[in-house]
Amino acid sequence: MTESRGNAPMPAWLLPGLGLLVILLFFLSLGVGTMPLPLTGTLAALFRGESSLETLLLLELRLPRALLGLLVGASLGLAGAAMQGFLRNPLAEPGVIGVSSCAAFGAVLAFYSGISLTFPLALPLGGIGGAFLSVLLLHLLAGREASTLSIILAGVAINAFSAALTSLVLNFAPNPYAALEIIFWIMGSLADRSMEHVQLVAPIMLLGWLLLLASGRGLDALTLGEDTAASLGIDLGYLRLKLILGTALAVGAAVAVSGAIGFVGLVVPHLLRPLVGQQPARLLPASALGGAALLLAADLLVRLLPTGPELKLGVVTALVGAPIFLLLLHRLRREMAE
Amino acid sequence: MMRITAEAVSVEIGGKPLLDGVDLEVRPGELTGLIGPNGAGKTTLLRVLGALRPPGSGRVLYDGKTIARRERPALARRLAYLAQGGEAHWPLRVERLVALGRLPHQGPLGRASAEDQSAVERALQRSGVEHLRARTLATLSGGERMQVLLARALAVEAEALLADEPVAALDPHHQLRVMDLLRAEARAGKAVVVVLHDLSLAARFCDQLALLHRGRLLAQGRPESVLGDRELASAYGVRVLRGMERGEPFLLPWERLEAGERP
Repeated sequence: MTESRGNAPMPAWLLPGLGLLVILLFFLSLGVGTMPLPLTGTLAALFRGESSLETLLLLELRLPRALLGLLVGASLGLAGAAMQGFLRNPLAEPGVIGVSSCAAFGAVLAFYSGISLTFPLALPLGGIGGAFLSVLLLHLLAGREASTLSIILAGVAINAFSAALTSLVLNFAPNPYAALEIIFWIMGSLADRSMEHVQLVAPIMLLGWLLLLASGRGLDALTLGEDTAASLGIDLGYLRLKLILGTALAVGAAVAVSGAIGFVGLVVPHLLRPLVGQQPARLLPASALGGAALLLAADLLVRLLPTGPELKLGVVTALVGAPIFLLLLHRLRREMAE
Repeated sequence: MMRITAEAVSVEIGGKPLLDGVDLEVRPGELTGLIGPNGAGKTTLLRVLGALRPPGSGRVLYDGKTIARRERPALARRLAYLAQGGEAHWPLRVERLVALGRLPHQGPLGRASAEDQSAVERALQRSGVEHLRARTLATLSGGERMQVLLARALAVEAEALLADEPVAALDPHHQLRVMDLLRAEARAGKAVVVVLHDLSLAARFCDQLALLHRGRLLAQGRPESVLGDRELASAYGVRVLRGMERGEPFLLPWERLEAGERP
């Protein structure tokens, strides 16, 4: 054997190809919904400055949904790839290791307490706070050269704790409807969001993306362990700070606006890793684009499926993602046994 | 050309001393061997010399100067470190793995220059692993793996190379191969430090030895002066057999000494 499977250098078409796919899915997302919308005509009317029911529908409903699909998907894909590089483990994913559920708890706290009504930024801030605490906790629990087992166990503990806290909030809900509202929100969806949501979280996510994308060199160096990375001039303290803060900002803001949408950060890097020559730095932009494409596609699917009430996006991603997670776990079981 | 000087270096963890007042000078053009029993502080000393951990007290000088945190990236171009029992967490192909040694020379965007490319080629060639370039570490034997990781360290093209037990898990052929390579690096003007367990390899290949025992430097200097019966008895608690082959010494640990027999 002279050629090992899945470690060929990154083909030049990968990033442009993924970019095109995202653009295509974005426009499809604008065009698809319960009401038929002649996309080219409506866009042309919009550029002429006309205002009609169609342009209103496009601007107020379809555009925020498509934009959030793009932003949330990219955040989850990128954060997944970054966490995996940071913990050097393909199973580290914001949902699996409890970052999403902690962020969800933070956001639930913000809107359940009513703070987010008077101070809208409290919602993403609650999400970011929860995400930040969970990544920090994971880092402390699992340690530096963490094994798969210790990461999963730390994730189980963090997930259990944040689920308990969220249940506590549900327990104190004044009526069943308030509890139901929270439960449905946590399931994860992009439906019925407005441009205000986009404006609220987009700058925060972009800041998170910048921090994560700037960690590529450090993640590459970490392939050979912490001492070797430090000997290559990587400041590990600074790298950890960038990754923890970047993940908290991206995932916290994403969860605050869309609820807990799991497994995007697991599936996307897993599919793309062989295409980027297994290199953590190159996986980052590819996973951001791939995450955006996957979430836009999944959100199209829930709108096109003829189910009675629309399926929640988080339910679909979990149904697809959980089997892949099990498959990965099965493949890594030898390492787990050590 | 880089000279590394450790001055009265001490390291403690939780009140337990790992290194205690170690003075050591690593000179360019020489192969320096760090030897001593398990837990003597060899890896700790190597990490301190490589600026991977700060000494609790004392200091480490590079060409007479200490290194501040903001100067650490610049030091990475001048000093390469080969960690013990290295593994790769992702199945990168060998040439990409070796290219990681060029990170200190690349800007934040990490574009590889033509110089980076040729440095990687030189490293693959010197370490004799050109034919493995498209493989992954996991598919290689232990010996090949160490040669690849050594190539990664060589690709830095630094003035100093610190290697932690690079021959520990290798068969005799690969042991000699790696030691030959390290000696050649030293002869080319580099300052090379290697942590060793094999006393014959230490005696034969190193220009200078430092014998550590419980965090203290028990002996330091030319191999023949460090590897005396008395030194080996008190550090390792063994008696050795000695011999010569074509003017080069070899040592064979022969029997354990009881507690009362250790000096």
